[in-house]
Amino acid sequence: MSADGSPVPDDRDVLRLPKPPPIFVPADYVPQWQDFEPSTTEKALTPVRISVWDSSLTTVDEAQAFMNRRSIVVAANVATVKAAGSGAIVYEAIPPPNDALRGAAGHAGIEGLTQAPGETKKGRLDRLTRIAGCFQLRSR
Amino acid sequence: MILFANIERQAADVAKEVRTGKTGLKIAEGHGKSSLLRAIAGQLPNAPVIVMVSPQPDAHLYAMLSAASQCGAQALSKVAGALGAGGSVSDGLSVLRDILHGHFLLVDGVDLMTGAGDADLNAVFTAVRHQVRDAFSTRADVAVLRHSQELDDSVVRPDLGMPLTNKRWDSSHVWQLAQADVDMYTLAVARRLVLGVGGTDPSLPWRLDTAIRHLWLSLPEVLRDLVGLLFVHGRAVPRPLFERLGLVAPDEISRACDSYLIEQTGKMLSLAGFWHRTSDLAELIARRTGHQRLARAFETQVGDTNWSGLAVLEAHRHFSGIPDIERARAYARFGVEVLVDLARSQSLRRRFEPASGTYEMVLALDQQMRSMAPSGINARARAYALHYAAYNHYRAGRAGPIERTIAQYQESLALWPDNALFWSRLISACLITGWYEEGVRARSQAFERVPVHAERENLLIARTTDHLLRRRLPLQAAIAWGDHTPEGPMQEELRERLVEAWQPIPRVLWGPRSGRVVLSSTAPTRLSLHGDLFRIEILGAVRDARSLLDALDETIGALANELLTLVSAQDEISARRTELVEGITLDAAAPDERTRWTASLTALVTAVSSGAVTHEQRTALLRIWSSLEDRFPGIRRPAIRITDDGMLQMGWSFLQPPGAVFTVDVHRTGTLDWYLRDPEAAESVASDEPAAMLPEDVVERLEIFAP
Repeated sequence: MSADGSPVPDDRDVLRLPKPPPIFVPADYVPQWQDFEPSTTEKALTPVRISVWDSSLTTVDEAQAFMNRRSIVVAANVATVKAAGSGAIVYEAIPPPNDALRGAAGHAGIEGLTQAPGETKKGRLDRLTRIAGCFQLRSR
Repeated sequence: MILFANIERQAADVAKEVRTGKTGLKIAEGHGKSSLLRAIAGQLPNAPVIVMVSPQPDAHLYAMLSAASQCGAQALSKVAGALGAGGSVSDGLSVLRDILHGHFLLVDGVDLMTGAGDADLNAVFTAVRHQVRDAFSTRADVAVLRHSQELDDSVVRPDLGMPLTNKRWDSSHVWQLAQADVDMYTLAVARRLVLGVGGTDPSLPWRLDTAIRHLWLSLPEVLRDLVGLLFVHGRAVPRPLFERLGLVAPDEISRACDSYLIEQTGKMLSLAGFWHRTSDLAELIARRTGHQRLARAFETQVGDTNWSGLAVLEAHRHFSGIPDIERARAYARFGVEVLVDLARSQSLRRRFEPASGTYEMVLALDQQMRSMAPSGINARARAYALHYAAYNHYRAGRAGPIERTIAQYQESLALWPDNALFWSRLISACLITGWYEEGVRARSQAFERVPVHAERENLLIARTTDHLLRRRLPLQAAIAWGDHTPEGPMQEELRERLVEAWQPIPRVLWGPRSGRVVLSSTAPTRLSLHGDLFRIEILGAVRDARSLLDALDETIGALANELLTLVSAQDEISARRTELVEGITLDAAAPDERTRWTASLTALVTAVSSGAVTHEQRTALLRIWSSLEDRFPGIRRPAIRITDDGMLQMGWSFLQPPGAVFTVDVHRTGTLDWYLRDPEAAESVASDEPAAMLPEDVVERLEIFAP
């Protein structure tokens, strides 16, 4: 059982369901930094985290059920994402009533995606682009 | 005792030919064939082997075990051993061939071994049934045929002659009262012998159906019980085995034989033929109780070395008849024909839940058998059970994903790829589920896998279309129909029904290229048939095609082209643009990227109306796209998204070239922030401040996205 705030092990894969979904998705599209930009809601919380799912605890279908819509799904290894420049990747409890849904235990967040002190705008976009490069499209 | 004058003479002629070495004599179906066969058996030396076949799913197995049982316990044991665990019909026939050496073989109904059922079910077991039928047909000294089409001039036709005179009844008077109906005459004799002199009273029923009912109700309880048991048993049984069951006393069996209620041919007991001339008897007899008593009785003989193989076969059949499929499974030593037949009849009686369970049982037995012989119950039987387990599971309304049904349909088709009915169900299931692409693909695969035959189009197209129309699914029916040209009046009528079902044209549509399309309730539409061409008119666009779906796709395509021009324009709103934007919603997830792009630009128009995006943002996006498209023809379209804080984003990032990224954030004022990462140049650049235009040196480098 995952504990809120505890780190997701390095050998796990995490799923990301970019939000909001693109209104147009070209063929052969691959994830880009915009898919890892924290939303306004996510930016309002401290620490700022973007939603991901531990794929060993949450299936693609279960993760999509939380989003309540179809969306693209990308996945990457935790250690690789951290090596590309993210902050911690930690489990994050889902508030009721969705905490009772199947796969809720796999919810986690990636930290450290906002502009760091002293980091240039381009430097941050390079870092997010490296992180995006770790993710691959994942199907069922 | 023989009832008719010519039987003994005719039997003597046939028996003489057999004794002098002639084999393969055939007797035609007709009144008296049983008497004739019985008389022939009586005139041959060394107790000939007599096999009496009824049209049952395991008739071929019964024929082999029944024949062996008449050659002794060791013979039965050998054949049962060759047929059972890990064995095969070929093994069984090989052993039986040696066992029958030196015996006369008489077979009644040799052509009934090929089984009764629908074409698919027959095809499942055809090979082994034909193998046994052919072996018996070749080996039999005398065979009674039931199918007149197989007869020729060499066949012996039973010639009963007139009834023999008798002291106990006036045969000519009874023959007259029976209106020269052989079965009615035999029944009247039986009635006379059971009821006494009153049995030939003219006031009794003399029409066969009412006479059978009357006789049944008049029988002493023990004889009624005997007739009922043999009726439920449904085929001949060796008298010594039947006596060992302990259900009826031997002297009562003799009494029934002497009274013509039942017949004994050699050692085989069976019902007199007249009992089969009405369907009333089936209603009068408690079949389930009969199966229960027979199942338990045969079960007691399973351990008897004299009868084991035959007892196992019959116990399995009667436990299936109850039905008690768990007990039946315990005795499914020789095959699954009876269980498959049971499952089919449960399904036809709309008892989908138990039918599904029985098919699952067949599949479990297959697993068990495959541990002993790789072929298991055989690939077609496995395919049949897989398909109908899924079908009945679905029809039973049991909770479960439709994906499971579809997956099992596909699995069954992998084992039996030319089964048109299975393909029809797979196509229907995909279309009903809304998996239109899969439905179209399955339809196309079906035509590749099912060879041309007279019923192919009827099964693959007409049956599927009809099924979907009955479920009031006109769009799915049109997909199933495709570009088919009707063959014959029934298919012409089906196409008429298809056109009627599209009046008015459904508002939610789908095409292979256009994807899901929604028409507004006010969008003007029309469908008509012009010769073999369907004509569709939507919002002023008109197209003709042989396939309704092609006509739809082409009409939607024409509208999409017009819409793309209108929503790509940066100028002011036109009435036609409003009409199309409001009248048709294209699929933002369509397989065709151009359709998705048009849908997205249309969504952008709507987003401006709702305030989610500003006019300045839309104009800036169109300006950037238009200038890039002019400069680099073939440049990839960007991903577009609207963030929850109102930013309009464009992004170029693809599998090729790897690592290349260009993004533009369009602020609500129409100003831009951009970021470019060019892996070849091994550097990235980004805007410092929001700008009105993209810098020329950045635009120049975007050629990397124009393959």
